[in-house]
Amino acid sequence: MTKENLKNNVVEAPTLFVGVGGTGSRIVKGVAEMCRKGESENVNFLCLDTNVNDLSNVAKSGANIYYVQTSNTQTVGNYLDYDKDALDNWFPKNAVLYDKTVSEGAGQVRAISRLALNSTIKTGKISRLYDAVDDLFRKSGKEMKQAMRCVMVSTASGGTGSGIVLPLAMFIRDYVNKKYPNTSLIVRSLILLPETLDSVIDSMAERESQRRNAYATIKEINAFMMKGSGFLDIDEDLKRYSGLHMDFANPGTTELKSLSLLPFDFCFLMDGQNAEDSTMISVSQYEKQASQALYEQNIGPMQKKAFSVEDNIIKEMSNPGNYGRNRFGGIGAGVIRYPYEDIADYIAYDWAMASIGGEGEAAKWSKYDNEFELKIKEARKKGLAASESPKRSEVYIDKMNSSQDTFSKDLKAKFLKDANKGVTRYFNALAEQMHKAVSENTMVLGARNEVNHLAEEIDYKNNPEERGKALENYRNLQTYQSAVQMCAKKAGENMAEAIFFNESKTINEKKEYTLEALLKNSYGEICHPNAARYVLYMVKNEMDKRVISTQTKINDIIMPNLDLYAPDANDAGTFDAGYSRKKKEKNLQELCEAEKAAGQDPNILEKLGGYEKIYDTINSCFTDYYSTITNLGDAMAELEAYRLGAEYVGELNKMFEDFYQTFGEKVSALLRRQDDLVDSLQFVKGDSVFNVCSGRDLLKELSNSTRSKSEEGALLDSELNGKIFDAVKSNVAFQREVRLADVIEEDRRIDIFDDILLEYFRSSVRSNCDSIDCNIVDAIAMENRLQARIKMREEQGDEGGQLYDKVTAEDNKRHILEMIAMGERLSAPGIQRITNEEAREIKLCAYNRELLGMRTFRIRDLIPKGEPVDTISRYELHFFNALYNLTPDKLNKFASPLKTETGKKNAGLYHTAYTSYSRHIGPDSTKNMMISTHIDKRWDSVAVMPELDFDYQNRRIMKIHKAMIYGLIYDAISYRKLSAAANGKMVFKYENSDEREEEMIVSNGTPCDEFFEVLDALYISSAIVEDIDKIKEKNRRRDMIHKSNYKDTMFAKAVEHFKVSILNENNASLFVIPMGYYNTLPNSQRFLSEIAAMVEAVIDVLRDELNMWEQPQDAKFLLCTELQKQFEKFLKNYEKNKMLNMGVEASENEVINLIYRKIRNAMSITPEPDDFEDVLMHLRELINESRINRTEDNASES
Amino acid sequence: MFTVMIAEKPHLDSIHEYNIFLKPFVNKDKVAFCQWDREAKTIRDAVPELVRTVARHEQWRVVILCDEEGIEQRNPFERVKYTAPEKPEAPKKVKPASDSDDDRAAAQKAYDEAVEEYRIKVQEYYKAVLEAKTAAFREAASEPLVRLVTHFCEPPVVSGGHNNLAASDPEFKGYLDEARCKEEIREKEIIGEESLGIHMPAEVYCIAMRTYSDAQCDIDYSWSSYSSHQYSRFYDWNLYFDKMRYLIFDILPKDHQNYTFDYIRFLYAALLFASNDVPADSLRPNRVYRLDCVNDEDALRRMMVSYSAKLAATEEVIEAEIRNLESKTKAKITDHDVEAEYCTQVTVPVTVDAAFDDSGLYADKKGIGLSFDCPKNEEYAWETDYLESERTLYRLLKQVHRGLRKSVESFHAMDSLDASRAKQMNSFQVEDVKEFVADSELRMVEVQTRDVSDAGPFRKTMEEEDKVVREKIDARMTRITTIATGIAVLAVFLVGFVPLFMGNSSTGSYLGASSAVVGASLLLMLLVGIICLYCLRGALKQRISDFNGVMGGIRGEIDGAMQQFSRYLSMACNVMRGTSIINYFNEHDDADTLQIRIRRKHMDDIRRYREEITAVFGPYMTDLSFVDEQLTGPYLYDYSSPADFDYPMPFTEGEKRQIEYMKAGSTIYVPVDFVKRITVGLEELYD
Repeated sequence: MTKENLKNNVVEAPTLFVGVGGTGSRIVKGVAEMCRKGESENVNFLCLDTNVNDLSNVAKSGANIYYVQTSNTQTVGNYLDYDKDALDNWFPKNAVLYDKTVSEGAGQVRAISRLALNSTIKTGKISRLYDAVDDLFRKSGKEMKQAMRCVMVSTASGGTGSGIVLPLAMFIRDYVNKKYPNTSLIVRSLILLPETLDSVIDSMAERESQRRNAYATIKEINAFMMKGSGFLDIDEDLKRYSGLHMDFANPGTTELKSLSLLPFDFCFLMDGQNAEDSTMISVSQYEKQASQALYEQNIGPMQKKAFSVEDNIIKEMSNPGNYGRNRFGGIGAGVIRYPYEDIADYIAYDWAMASIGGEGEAAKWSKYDNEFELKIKEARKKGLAASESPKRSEVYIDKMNSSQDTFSKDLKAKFLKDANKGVTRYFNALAEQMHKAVSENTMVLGARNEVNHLAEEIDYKNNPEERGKALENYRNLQTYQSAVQMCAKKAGENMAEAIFFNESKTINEKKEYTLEALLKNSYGEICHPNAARYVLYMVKNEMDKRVISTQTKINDIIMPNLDLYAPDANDAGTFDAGYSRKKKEKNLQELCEAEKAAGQDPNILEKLGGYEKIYDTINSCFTDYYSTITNLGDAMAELEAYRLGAEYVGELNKMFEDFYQTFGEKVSALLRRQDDLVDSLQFVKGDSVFNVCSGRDLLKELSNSTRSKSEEGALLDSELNGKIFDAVKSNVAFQREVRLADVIEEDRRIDIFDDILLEYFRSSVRSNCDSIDCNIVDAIAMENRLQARIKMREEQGDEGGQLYDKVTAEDNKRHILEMIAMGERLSAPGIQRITNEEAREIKLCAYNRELLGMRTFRIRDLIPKGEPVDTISRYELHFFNALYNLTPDKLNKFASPLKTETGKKNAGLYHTAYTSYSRHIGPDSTKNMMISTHIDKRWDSVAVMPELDFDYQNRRIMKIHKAMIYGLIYDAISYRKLSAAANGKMVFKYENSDEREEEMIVSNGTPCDEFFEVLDALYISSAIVEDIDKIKEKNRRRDMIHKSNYKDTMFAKAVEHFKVSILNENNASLFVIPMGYYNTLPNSQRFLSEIAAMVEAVIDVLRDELNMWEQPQDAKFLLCTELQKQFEKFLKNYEKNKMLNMGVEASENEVINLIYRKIRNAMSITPEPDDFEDVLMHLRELINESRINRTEDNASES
Repeated sequence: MFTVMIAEKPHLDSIHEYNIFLKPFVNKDKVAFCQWDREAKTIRDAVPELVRTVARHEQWRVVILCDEEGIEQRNPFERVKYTAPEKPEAPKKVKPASDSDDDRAAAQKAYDEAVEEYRIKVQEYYKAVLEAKTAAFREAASEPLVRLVTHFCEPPVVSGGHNNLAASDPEFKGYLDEARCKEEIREKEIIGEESLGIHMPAEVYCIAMRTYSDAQCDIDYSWSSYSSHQYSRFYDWNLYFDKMRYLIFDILPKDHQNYTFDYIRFLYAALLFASNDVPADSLRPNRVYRLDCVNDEDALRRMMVSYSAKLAATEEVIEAEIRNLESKTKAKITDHDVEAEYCTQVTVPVTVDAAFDDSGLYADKKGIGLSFDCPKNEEYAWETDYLESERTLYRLLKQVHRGLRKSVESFHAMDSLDASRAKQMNSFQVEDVKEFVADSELRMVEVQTRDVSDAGPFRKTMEEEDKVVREKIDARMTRITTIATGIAVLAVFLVGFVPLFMGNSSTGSYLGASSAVVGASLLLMLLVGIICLYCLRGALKQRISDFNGVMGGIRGEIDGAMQQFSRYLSMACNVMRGTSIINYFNEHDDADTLQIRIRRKHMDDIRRYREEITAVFGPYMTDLSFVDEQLTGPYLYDYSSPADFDYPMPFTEGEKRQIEYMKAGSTIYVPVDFVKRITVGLEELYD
């Protein structure tokens, strides 16, 4: 099988992935690691986190990721001491947060994360983000056609991620808009909701905290989506939120940068349950799913199709009720995969075990070593000294020679038949090569050439020109000797090193003097490792012997012989020329000197004395001297070869021994490896990748069907044997290098078992086992067939052997379609579908183009909408699924409680968590344990940030208005002196249900000293709103005990005597409240919707009380009466109180008209009182007739 | 990440003691252990091995096994108790007695006074808080754990900015004051001048054991609602750091019969924790988590029962060997063998090197001519011969010395016998050996050796002989003298014939005869002269022969001395050989008894092991049906050797099992199959 040559996906748009917080960073890291080389040319990855440890894990990733640590070891308190905007305006400062070290994470307090981001921006440490963006716009010469894409990933539940994902999105958009104004930016985000983390969090308190964080995050995103889309500025009902913005630190200036940009074009949510209502087990599964989905959506081959749907969604942004919020959605991805590589490995392990013979046969490999261990034990038992203990090599060779088992017999027959001859041949060749090395040495060669003629006897008699040269020849021989002594050793050493430390592959080496050649039998097959060890032990023993014998030869024979020819030798018996009585020549030099020089003839006496005999002596001496020198050279070179060889072969043997020591264990571990492999392929519920043909039984069946039938006992293939020996050689070479070098930069040791033995079978399976190399569709069909076979075996009780199944093509097709359907389900978007709403869902699938050429199945029939691509492996089917057009208020978990005529719907999980907590939040975060879940504490107020659900928002506003009304009615909110010391300074204070006074603080942090500010104070103080409810209930309980009717209730009495001191109005109507509120408001804040809500609240309060105390059928009528009464009273109040009428006649006052309309609406709801029209007419007349008291005005004017 | 586990000695000793069980849990490449002396004043004394252990690591983490002081507390890390002073309550609104203005004013006045009083109380409250906290900080600073971790964590940066929040927020002021106080205590009372000069650990984990169990607390917690912000702030007054992570391990009380096993469970949980990186987001700062190790009891039972069975099987094997040894018929040795093996006379030869040539000892008599300097200078030749002879003597004496040394080596090689059969001798045979020893001893002392290492006496003898030879040489004539003397004698002799010639010259008849007589006389005289010269030469030769005779005597003397040495050493060798046998016989049991004793030692070891595991894992070893046949084969050691063998638990080599680690989806490999998962759960501690 050739390795698949997959093309890279091309991402044309510059794309920035931003992971925020621990989980977000991990997901982005996952995407980065999924990217093939070449796919990330236009893609950058950036991670931001406060937690330094999590970031360091990102930094360790192999992918190129920019990262920003948005924290340091400062405490929150210290940050606040510098960030004035945070301190004064948005940070929920509280004693429990001051001492938190931000580098250890934001501790689920989202505002801490924003605080740290602000500091990061201010200190310029955000520059890596700029780098990541700018890098995408570097000049490349290519045309930049597409808008930049930014993909942000975070959780909505933790501190860091959910705290900065929104501001960061706006910050990035602002940066891109300003720096690259000609480029548009599409920001997508994937936000993990808290239930994805349920497996990590077991504390309910923590879970609740995460849920409310999630709600707050989505609420903020929802609000800024409306703001960014412009709806808050154009819709009358939402105009009050038009000032929604976020302030950022501005490096280099004291000014703040105020942004209210669209944070995300699309926001994809991932919750615990996906669109199929199925869940995953662990966070890591969710993270993998998120990474996979983001990869498919933004980088994978289906990206274009995926994005094409978004254009249609954008058209629906302005549809009624959407307000640009239907940008939410969900994505999911799944892969059906045929794990070819893993399956090939599995089969390779099987083949390896079959070839080695499993554990039992592996034991045979080691039997010779075991024999040695036994012998050693025996020796120890006998108390033998170490020198007398048996040698491994001896035992090994003996054992192999004496063993009669098949394995040993096979080894001997195949490899060791001529081992002895081979070794002899090897040593001869080696010796010859060493001789050659000496003789070819330049220096030796030069010296030898001068004396070559002395190798044989010279016929001095017939060659008189040779006479008289003895001394010269002697000198030349001495030069030859010196050259040999000087160079033979080195030449031998060099040659031996070249021979032993060669890097040539055993399979290629044929020179007789190499070990590699020795390890081959006569057919050129390389020895099995056991046989190789046998031969190597023989060689080692022989080498050792030869080291000694050669050394002895040099010391005892050659060197004494050479000494004989030394100039200072003293052996007159040998060298005395004898013809002259004058002197006895004691050595060769003197003998040579005794020769007459050329041209000098011996006298008669000398001739008579036997002068001619000198030549015989010279002849015999010179030839012997010459051959002795040559022998010395040869012996020295041989000695070097034997020494080095003995050392080297010893190391080879040791390396083999080490390999064998762990061999048995590793063979046993192969089964474990197979198990591990099966475990890793096993589909675990929650996984996004399904592996076909990966069950234990399936793999076993598949492996059985691929097993080669031509196995030859336990003997390995010759090529593999060669590779094993090469690896042993290489390890020995590395070991030597380690010994000699100070620093080794790279560990080049080869694990013989893993890297050679198993690798061999791995590649063998891949090159020989075609039946398993099939595409994903065929693999699914094969799985079906295998399953059928297994079933047949079970039914037949068959253990093995051939089986003929009856699986038809139709069966296979059915199975394939089932698997495809499963793949689609695996890729279900990570958010639940909305019931009763049309789903804008896209389901995509991509496969390798090669699948189009299948004969058995037509891929277009199987996956009609699938897309053939070149970027997906043919072993995989990729599925991507996206859900669009969601608004968060429609998602069950974010939904507010709803009561309709048909039934009651409970609040969603996240909504409940948020509201049950936020209702206890007070205006001063320093005095309250409840800390705002928002990144701006002001956003707790429904007056500042719109709710997800407008109905709920209205109900909430209504509740606050009612609270104001009740508070004023029961005098819980009263206008009092600020303090005893601040004489004359009056403010509104709240006397709580515990009868303690509380300050009322407005959103700008000042005390509430204006009437209109009461509502503002209540907007930011849910705690007071809730407490007013308690006061109401307390009074109701009292009335209940007294079994009161409406008119006897505390409420009715309080209404009767209601007054608003700041308006100097005693015996006031409840309608004075909206009027007073309206009048005291600055013009810019006069929203009629607010007044209308307040008027409705007044009517509702009366209605609630009447419903409480009166029969339902009476309550309606009593309400009309009460409204009439209150309106009449109000007109009177209006007429006489300048602070109410402000000089405007009742008929012209829009608030009065509003009140009238609201009363009319209240009365006109069936069942209507019979006279309600008269009453209304009467009230209208009263308005028209009403005249304000201008006496005081005139007086003051005059 | 490289992990340093810091623990007190008892913990480390336990890890060592239970090594047999804990061995597979320790990743030695990743985990190092440092002993913690809690009483030490300085960090270097407290953890002396730390610096050396982490010196080369840039990134490392520390796992501290805390002491047991807080073991009975719900939060064992809350060493210092801090009770916040009671916060004054805001005054309640004073109700006027009636609606009259006076009453209203009076009520308002009373309320205003109460508010003022409240304000003062609040100020005092914050002061009291700071005092109480400071006292707590000081107390905490003396805690060994605090002293230890202060060296591992950077204090938070509290530099103080320009917003002056303290002015408006008394709690912020309190925080600043506390932060400064903490900083001062840390710097002055803990760190001082000490600097470790190592990288700070990236993570700091503290693990404490806990025996606390109060169901009431759980009920209280379940029926109350808490916000995560209300989590205990124990880390604040205990002077801990945000970098620290807290883990508690619930363990049985020490007096519980299963304590030891539970403690081992704690140890292997801690070791697994130390050997594996903590998954991200598992442990948050300032929160206390329960660490737990869930066991697969069946697997543990299987292993322990199998281990016990394996030990039992080993015991059986050894017992069978003992039975074999006991039933074995005792081997005997024959008298002949005793004689041959133990009473054989050995000879330790003392010889000179065979290659040693002693011909130089003797002077060369050849080449002595008729006169002093013909054919060579006799004095010079003698000098050369004498020196050669002297040198050879020295060499010979050296050879004696060396020969002796070599013999001693042989002696040592031969002085003991293979005593393996000595225990088979009977008393008579022992008696024979003793006799042999006594006899050899006696003969040894009888040997008279002499010192031949001193060359002095030999030299003296040689000098005397030399003197004689020299005198003789000195008396010899030179060639010229001889020739001159000959010529002179010839001349005198011929002069005597002059008259004869003169008388007969005229006649001439007798001239021929005269000449013949003269010639004959001359020849005779020459002959006599030559004979004389030969005689003189012969005398010199005799002197040299005498010298050679003396040298031969010296050589003989040396050879005799060497023979004596040889005898002495041979006897000594016999004595030692015999004695070694007798000693062996006296001091050793016979082989089988010894082997039985060795095996009994192994059995004791195994029994000890079994007792130990039964004491610890007893409850898991009751059901023998769990035995795994694959794990129960006996340990195959060489029990004839008295070594202390390990009897490792039968953890299957290479077997690794993937388990859930700390959170769902996070897994680690453990080398055993009885650990199901390592879990952490938040301990709900709310103030």
